[in-house]
Amino acid sequence: MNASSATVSRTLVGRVLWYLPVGLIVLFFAFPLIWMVMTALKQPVDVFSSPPKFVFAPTLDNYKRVLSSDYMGTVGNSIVVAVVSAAFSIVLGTLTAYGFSRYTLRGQDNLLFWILSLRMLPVIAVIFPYFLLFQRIGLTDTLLALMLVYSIFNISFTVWLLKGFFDEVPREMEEAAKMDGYGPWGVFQRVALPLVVPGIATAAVFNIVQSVNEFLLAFVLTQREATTAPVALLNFLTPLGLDWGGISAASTMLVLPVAVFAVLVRKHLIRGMSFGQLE
Amino acid sequence: MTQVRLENVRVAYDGREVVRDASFTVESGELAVLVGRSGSGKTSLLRAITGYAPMTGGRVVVGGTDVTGQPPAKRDIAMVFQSYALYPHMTVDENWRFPLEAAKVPKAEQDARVTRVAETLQMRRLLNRYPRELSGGQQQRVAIGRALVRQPQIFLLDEPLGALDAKLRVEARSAFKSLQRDLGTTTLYVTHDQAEAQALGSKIVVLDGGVVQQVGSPDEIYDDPANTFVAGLFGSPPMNFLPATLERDGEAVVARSGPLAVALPAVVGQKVLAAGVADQVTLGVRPETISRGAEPGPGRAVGRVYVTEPIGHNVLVDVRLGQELVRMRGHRDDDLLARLAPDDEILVAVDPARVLVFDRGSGARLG
Repeated sequence: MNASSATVSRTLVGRVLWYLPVGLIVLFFAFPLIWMVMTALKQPVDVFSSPPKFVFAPTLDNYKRVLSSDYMGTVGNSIVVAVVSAAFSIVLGTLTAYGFSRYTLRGQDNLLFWILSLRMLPVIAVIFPYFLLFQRIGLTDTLLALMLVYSIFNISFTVWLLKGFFDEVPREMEEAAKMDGYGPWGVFQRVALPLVVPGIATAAVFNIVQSVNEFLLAFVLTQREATTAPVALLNFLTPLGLDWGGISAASTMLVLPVAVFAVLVRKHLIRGMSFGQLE
Repeated sequence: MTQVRLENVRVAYDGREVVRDASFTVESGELAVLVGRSGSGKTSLLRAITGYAPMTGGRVVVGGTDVTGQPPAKRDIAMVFQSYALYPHMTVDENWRFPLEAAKVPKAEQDARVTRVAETLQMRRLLNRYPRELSGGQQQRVAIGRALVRQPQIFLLDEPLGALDAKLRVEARSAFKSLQRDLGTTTLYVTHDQAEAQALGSKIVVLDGGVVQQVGSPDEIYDDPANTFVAGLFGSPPMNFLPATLERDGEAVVARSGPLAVALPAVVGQKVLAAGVADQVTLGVRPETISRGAEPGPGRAVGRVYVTEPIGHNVLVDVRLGQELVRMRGHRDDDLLARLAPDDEILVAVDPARVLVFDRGSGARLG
């Protein structure tokens, strides 16, 4: 056996040894997702078959049923609320985080802790105050109410995440930009902001997932018009039992846009998680 | 053209004064080097010129205009940072255009300037690279280029070669010196490296403890240091310092250190006496002013070789002279020096005309 084929076989063995466990781990974590997608394509008979079927005659009946219901409207609500709230949180959160990172404020630590504390209460503790508040100002069952409430949670997270990112931008780089003739806004926009794009992408994904997932607040604060998808999934709980095929198809359609967004920004996400190698 | 004048500049951080009463002038077109150890306040002083340091007193005058209160962006100063501070999300080309865009330089003029700088720094083929794709030396040139394209009134450089390896540093040093001469831009260059300061500067400003110790040409700083700090900072190997007592011998003044007695030149003797300080002084003797004596006499003494170190075409010989260890530098071709072994006896001869006398307490130069 010559040397080059030995290398090939060695790298082949190496690859198998690497990808086999990686594949198993991915399969383990992705299994619920795979199961969901599969269930969405199953006939009711196949859903409960035991042992579980991995090979079956796929059907689009579940998707047809979901598309003909008013569920898609609630997916639209979910996406609008999630995107607007994420955008608002990121604009406000980025500016706030930059301020905390670059300027010294009196009571800075207390302020930062206060912002963090917005996330500390369990949602259940604030549901009724929110409900009463929105009822008083006539915002129950509106998308605006959900956007506002979600933004409170999202801003808190965004500020903390992005402050870390801004702290990593060397001060000398900003000083250089000032000497190059830029004012505070120019320095922020042309130097600091582009360098924290990974952080912004990370914040956007987390914010959107958070809002799309949220059930409790949406359940209490909406009735009909502003219902979001997680709440609407309850409709698949019929007097005749759970419509697993329908729920799976509905969930898949809710997961899809979020997944697409995450894939679009994945390059930044990876950099966002391995930050610190700015040089 | 533009002169930079510092008048009694004081800088303090949180009440701790790091620069005290610094005054000096960089003449128009001059390359001045600010040298000091780390923590001497040289970066703070530089930041006072850029406008980033909290000045508690004094004035910074650029081209006849007092810029003391002005924000950094208004001062028309370009700086090369030790860390380079390149914008990592911009290519070399974009890094260079960045200050030009701020100044609203027309596109055609931007192109012309970027091309010219790329030519000067031999970076034409690297214009579309990102800083992370460049070597340390190339990044350093990008940093200098970003300062060059602006055609500023003043250049400031904070240890710009500090991150390069020794060989590259020497090359970059001479390249920068000739570049600065061609451009004729007033330049203040900060370094902790005395050799770099000597090699580059037409004027050297020595800073220690936040106080300007001496301002002068490289030769003045070397031959005529103001105190023991400056004397010890410059020269490699550094100057020998010997504790000595002064004795009057008629008109002459003799400095005695262990077995060595040096009759000071009349002028020096007068100055030392005029200073009227105690008899306890420190003699400063550069290694190259010590030689091997042929026969005993004044200014000569017998010592024992402690160790010899050949360095290229020179040889360093450490000699035990009484209580003191004295280092002399001689030519390798001097066979007797080169063949010395530890514990050999050697007759050391000091050139009295080149002995410096310092106050032992304050370190100030007496003569």
